[in-house]
Amino acid sequence: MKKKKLGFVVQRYGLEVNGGSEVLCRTLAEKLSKHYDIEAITTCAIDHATWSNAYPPGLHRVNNIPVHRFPVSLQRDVPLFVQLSNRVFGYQQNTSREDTLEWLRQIGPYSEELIRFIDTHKDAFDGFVFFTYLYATANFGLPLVKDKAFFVPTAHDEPYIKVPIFGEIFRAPKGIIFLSPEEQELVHRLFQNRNIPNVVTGIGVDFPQHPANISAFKKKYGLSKPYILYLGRIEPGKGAGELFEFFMRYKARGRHDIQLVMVGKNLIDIPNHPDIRHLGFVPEEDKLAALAGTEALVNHSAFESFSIVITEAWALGIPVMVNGRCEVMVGQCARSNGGLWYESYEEFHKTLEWLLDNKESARKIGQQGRDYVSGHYNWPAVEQRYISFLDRLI
Amino acid sequence: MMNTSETPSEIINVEKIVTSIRGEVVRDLLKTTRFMEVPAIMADVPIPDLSNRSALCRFFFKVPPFKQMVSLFLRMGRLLFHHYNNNTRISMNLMVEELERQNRVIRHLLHKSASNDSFTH
Repeated sequence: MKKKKLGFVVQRYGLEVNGGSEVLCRTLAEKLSKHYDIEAITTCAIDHATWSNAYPPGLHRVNNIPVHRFPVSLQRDVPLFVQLSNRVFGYQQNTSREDTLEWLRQIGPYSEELIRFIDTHKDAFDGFVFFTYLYATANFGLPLVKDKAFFVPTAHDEPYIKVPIFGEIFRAPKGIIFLSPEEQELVHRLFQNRNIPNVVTGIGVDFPQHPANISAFKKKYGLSKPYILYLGRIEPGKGAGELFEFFMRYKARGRHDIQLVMVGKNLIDIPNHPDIRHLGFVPEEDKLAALAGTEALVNHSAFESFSIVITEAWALGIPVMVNGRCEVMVGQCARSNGGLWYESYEEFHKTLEWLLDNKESARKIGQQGRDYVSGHYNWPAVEQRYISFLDRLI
Repeated sequence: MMNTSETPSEIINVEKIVTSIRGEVVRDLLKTTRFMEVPAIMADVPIPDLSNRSALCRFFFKVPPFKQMVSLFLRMGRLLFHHYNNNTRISMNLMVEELERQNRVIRHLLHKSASNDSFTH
């Protein structure tokens, strides 16, 4: 039987792209290509800050998935974007629709050719799956094919989502795919769109096949103390600044001699502190070893729709400590009993000391996380949720 | 602090640990705050008529120390009430809910004040 053909529309696509939504899109495309004929529709951008064209345009293949890349046709006009943002976030009643649409274009990445491709090829696809509510690719592409559009919004409880124009895209698609019950509840509460078929799928996690060489990793990077681990982009939007502040306060007052190890690209300066170690980007085997050797993974972001990194920690049986202001991560920890959450510095301090004082229990909590992701977020189960949902509606 | 000894087969309930940690933080705060002085001071300060926008603006914007004291009083008052409640979990949840409710009310009133609309509480 001929496979149904799906277009996966996402702002960036490629092995060099490491944003959460983009990695999710690419991973899903590769996993679901056993069941569907999938083609990615995307821009030539790699850098999400500038959207500058980096990949050559045209049809390419990435891990055997056809990828249609189109050049970004509008480079962000920063003064105009700031002016429009002030109007939009001021929720001024006289902000025109044209201004709001221009603001969406300026958020980017806006590609005339990509939008035209979707419009002119809509009949060639049985369905489209749009990723990420915030970007121009979804906002201008989805309305053109809403009768066959599925939406993976990766929504966070952040100021952007409160801008009224996003109500249009959240009420338009044929189906919505959420990553967590908290994201589902947020979207339903904000947009009153429970009538649109939807499903909570989560994201699958890969379980390492080989044990990590922790001692080799520590020797390679000169780590001699116990450490907590931060994994991901180091930027204010991920709470990195406040995490630095919390950790340095802990170092001044806490009982344990511990380090904070950061793995990922930094978009802000790393404090000059002897116990904050920034390793930058590391090879995959080093990342796994960093996770396997840590006392706990810490995620201080207040804005997550799933948090892949905490499930990666749980896959290795590592407990996590997360920002209690993020309902998604609190929900994940509570459901799995795989981690603790905190809000203030005082709670961060005591949570960290609890984990370090109760190592056996911390290990058990990590194991609980592993049991949870093994049961709920193994790839076969996640894939089946997508297939059941899509096949029901396409 | 949470008793962490358990048989290997028992699930460790993380929510209990978080609640216990929050309870410790609250108790530390109570120890370091001259709690009993706050209500005495506040007794002399009339709570403004919340339907009177001008009075509310003066209260929150032009008398900054009172803004802090109102928040502190609300927090301390409920902490004291629930501190003696044996069920810490319910206490902490109620405290958090009450703080969030107060924050929503205050934010709503401030927003209405800024928008030049008349409002009622």
